[in-house]
Amino acid sequence: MTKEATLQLPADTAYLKMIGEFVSRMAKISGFDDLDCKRIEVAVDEACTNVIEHTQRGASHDAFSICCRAVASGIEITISDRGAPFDFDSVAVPDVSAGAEDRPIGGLGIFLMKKFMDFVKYTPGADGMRHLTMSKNRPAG
Amino acid sequence: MSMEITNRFENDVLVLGLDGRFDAHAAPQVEETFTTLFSQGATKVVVDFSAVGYLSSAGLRVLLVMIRKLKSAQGAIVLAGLQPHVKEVFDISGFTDLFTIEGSVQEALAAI
Repeated sequence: MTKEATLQLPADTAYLKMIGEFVSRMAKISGFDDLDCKRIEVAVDEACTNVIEHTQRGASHDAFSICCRAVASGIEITISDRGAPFDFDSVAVPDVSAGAEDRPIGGLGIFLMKKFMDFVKYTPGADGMRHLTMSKNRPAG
Repeated sequence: MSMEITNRFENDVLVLGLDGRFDAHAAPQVEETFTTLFSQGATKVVVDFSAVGYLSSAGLRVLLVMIRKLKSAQGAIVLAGLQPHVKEVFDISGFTDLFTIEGSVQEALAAI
C-alpha cells in the first residue's frame, strides 16, 4: 500500500524543524532506521533551505510543497516550488579534502543531498513549477 | 528558537554550548553569538555538541567561518561530544580532518 502525505509551506527557515519532523516520520513509516531517517531529513532540509533562501520571505503562504510517498522500495520525495529552472548537475562537486582556508563558504548542500539519497533529479513541470525528486531505497535484509 | 545557546568561560577558554537542531534557522544565531564573543577577545573556543542531534550544511558553514576567524587570530577551536549523525555529516564533508574533536568538554578543555 502506498502511503502519501504533502506539506505546503511559506518560505521561512522557522519551518525547517517541522519539515524535519514530517520527513523523518514518513521515512520511519517507510521502514528506515533512525540513522537513515536523519540522512533523509538532511537531504530534504538542504533542498528546502535552498528554496527558502531563493524565495522572497513572506511572499506567499504556500511558496513550496513537500510530498513524501512510502513505496515498496523505500521512500520518494518531491519538493515543488516556483523557482527558475536550475541545472542541478552543473554545480561543482566540492573538494572535501581541502583545508579550512581553501574551501568556499557553502556549497555542501547539494553534495549532501546526493550522498544521502540514491536518486536526485530536477524536472521543470508543465505547470510552471519546478520539481526536485529524490528517493532512497531501504537497505536489503 | 530552534536552538538554545549558552556560553561560559573556563579560564580563558570560551565554552559554547549548543542544544537543538543546527540548521539554517539556528545558524545565524550561533554565528552572531560567536562573532560577538570573538570581537570581545575570545580566541580559544570549545563547542559542546553533545545536545546537538541534527546538523545540516548551514551549521558546517558557520563552523568554517569560526575556524577561519580563530586561526587568523592565532586562536583555536575544539569540538566535543558529536553524536553519530553529526559525526557522519562531518566525515562525509571532510570536516573531521579540519577540526580537533574530543569526546567530552573536559577532554576538549585539556586538548585546547
